Amino acid sequence: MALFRHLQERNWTTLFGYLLFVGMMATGYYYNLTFVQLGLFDLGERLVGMNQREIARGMAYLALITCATALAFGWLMLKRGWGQNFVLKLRLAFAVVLVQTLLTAAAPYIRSEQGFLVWIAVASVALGVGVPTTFGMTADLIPVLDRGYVAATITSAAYFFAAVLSLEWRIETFTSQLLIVMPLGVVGLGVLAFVRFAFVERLARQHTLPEFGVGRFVRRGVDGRNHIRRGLPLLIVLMFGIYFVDSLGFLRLIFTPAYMDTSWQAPTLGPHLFIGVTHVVGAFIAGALYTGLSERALFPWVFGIFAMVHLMYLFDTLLPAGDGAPLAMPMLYAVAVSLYTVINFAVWADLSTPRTISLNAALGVALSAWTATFVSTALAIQWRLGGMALDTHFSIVASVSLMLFIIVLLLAFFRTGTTE
Amino acid sequence: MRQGLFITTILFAVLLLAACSPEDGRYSGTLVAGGTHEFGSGETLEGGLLVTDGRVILGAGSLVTGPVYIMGGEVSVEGEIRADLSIIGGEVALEPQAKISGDLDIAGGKLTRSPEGVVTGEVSRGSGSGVQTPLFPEWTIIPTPEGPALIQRLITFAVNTLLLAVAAAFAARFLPRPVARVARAVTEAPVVTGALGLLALITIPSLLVLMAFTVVLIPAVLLGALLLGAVVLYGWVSIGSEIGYRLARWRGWSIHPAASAFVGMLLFTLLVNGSGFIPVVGTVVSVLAASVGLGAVLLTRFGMRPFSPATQTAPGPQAETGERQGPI
Repeated sequence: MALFRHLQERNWTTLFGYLLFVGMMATGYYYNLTFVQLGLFDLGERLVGMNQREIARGMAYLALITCATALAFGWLMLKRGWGQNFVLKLRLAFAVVLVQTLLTAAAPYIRSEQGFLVWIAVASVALGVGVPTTFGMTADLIPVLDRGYVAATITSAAYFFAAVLSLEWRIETFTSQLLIVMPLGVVGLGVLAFVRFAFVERLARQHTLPEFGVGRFVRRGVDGRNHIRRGLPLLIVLMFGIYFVDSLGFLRLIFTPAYMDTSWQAPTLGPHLFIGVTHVVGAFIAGALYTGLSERALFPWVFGIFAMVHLMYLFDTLLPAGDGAPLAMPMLYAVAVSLYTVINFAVWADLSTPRTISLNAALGVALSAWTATFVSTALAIQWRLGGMALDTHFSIVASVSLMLFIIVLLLAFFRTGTTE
Repeated sequence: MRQGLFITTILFAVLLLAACSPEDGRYSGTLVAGGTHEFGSGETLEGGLLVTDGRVILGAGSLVTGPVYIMGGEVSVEGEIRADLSIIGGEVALEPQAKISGDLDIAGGKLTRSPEGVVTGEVSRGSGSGVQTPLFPEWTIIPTPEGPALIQRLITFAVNTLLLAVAAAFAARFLPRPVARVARAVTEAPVVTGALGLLALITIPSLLVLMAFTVVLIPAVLLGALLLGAVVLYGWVSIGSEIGYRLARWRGWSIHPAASAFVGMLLFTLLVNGSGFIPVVGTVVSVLAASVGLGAVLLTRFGMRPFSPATQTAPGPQAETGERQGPI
């Protein structure tokens, strides 16, 4: 790992860059996992009094506006060359965190559907700006060699705390937790962005070093220019598939107390701790495999585990109930989620140069994560409210997962353009 | 060539699965995972029966044509089983009218047997005692009351260690290159091999349990478990051989690689199994050793190909020609 060399050389500037990036991304992802994905449902249903179909529509707006904003802003950053301007990215990140902090503080006081929708619209724009901005800092702060492990650290921190601290999914709980950390982020980013420090200027030049700037899947061709593999669109499709099967299954699990009460919403700390530790183990496995192999090697595992876990849930719904759902199912779920989250945090930067990173990250995250989440959320809620039985839902999800797994296996075997 | 082999294998697997369709009840079976199920006089269960939980009453005059495996729950046998009865967990009662045409194997659980109950085959105590699977609560296997004596454990330990050392010597003698490739993967990329091995150790047992639920795939489960064990063993043997090789080089011994592998494996097994006497540490060491070895075997395709981590072979952008897309 490059980190150890920088530690040996006492390269405090670079080490600070690691800390800044991990802290920012882990907090941001924790915010997304808890406040955005779970807190908004509670806000809409309990405090505003909306029905689930209306909340789902609101969440769809959130996904679409975020997606559109991220794409537009990523393109703008590419055209203006902002991807190579670290200080500007810091200022943008400061603005995003400031807006999100104010929105977070205001959320528990919303009592009308209009207020809820306005909140979503403003938050979506901020999140959309945040995606290319924060992902774009990877090229400035994290050496190429360490991106897998850094992604693993971000993933494990976000999921561990989300699993362990989120014993009750209430907007007030999430708000009080986040308002401890977010104001610190606002102050910290504000100081870094608007006060001139020599070490910030050194950080701003790091993307020009060979160790940092150009991702490992970018190759320099005979014309002397950087080229990307043909696999970017395929990667976006694969990531879309993963997000799709994950959300489609999980959004039904959320509304099935038999499974949630023994795992993600268990009243005791034990299952939360177990899931949290599993996320950490899964993330570091993914970090090591991403670094030592390639993103291609991880995809069959992710799809395979999702297919397996959805089949397990299907079998569990078909067979007579025992004393409670086994923890093996959430364990495998946590492993699969950690694996693909690590890929998501590392791969877009590794497919980019400092100039293109903002647009590529926006393309990747917006087209795969947000679009898939939008489609699968809408489908899952529509199916459930339409009266689809639990076993039918899981049989569809398991079938889709199995089909995707077989496709990925075939792709891996026949070595398409994504292969090395 | 490889693609042809792949397609042939897939076709073969599909045909094999198709052949396992439950035609005429030859390959069918019944899984009971909960609830109460009673089979009365004249009722016939075609194929095997697997009970993981719940209550099953095979009443007088009922018939099960295949083998019966009991892993949990309560089972009362008053009818006939025309194959073996294996008790791994749960509570089983063999009533006076019970008739078992095959063997009776008791690896765990609790058996109450009426003297009038007939067992045509042999009655044996299996070795599946003491195994607990807390992640699958319904599959908890009740340990046998008596554990082996210390002397018996020591003998088992010594025999196992010796057998592994002999296996390492044979592997170093007859498969020197594959073993060396696996060992090189372990030494050059222990983190990557360990990560892949751990992932396989987490997922493969879950997959085997899932397959067992289909009943029809139980033979494949047994095969898969054996294969997993063999792969872990292969990894261990390779690590032991490498330890022996390095030890011989360090000490300046000019001995045959098979002999150094024997010594290395002896040391490695003593170390790993010896750490088992320290709580927690033993488990961690065993899991790590198994993971690293398993991962190395998988990454080298069973020792057929050398493995180099991607970041060693491609550290950042490289000059390269070839079929690439437009500039970015």
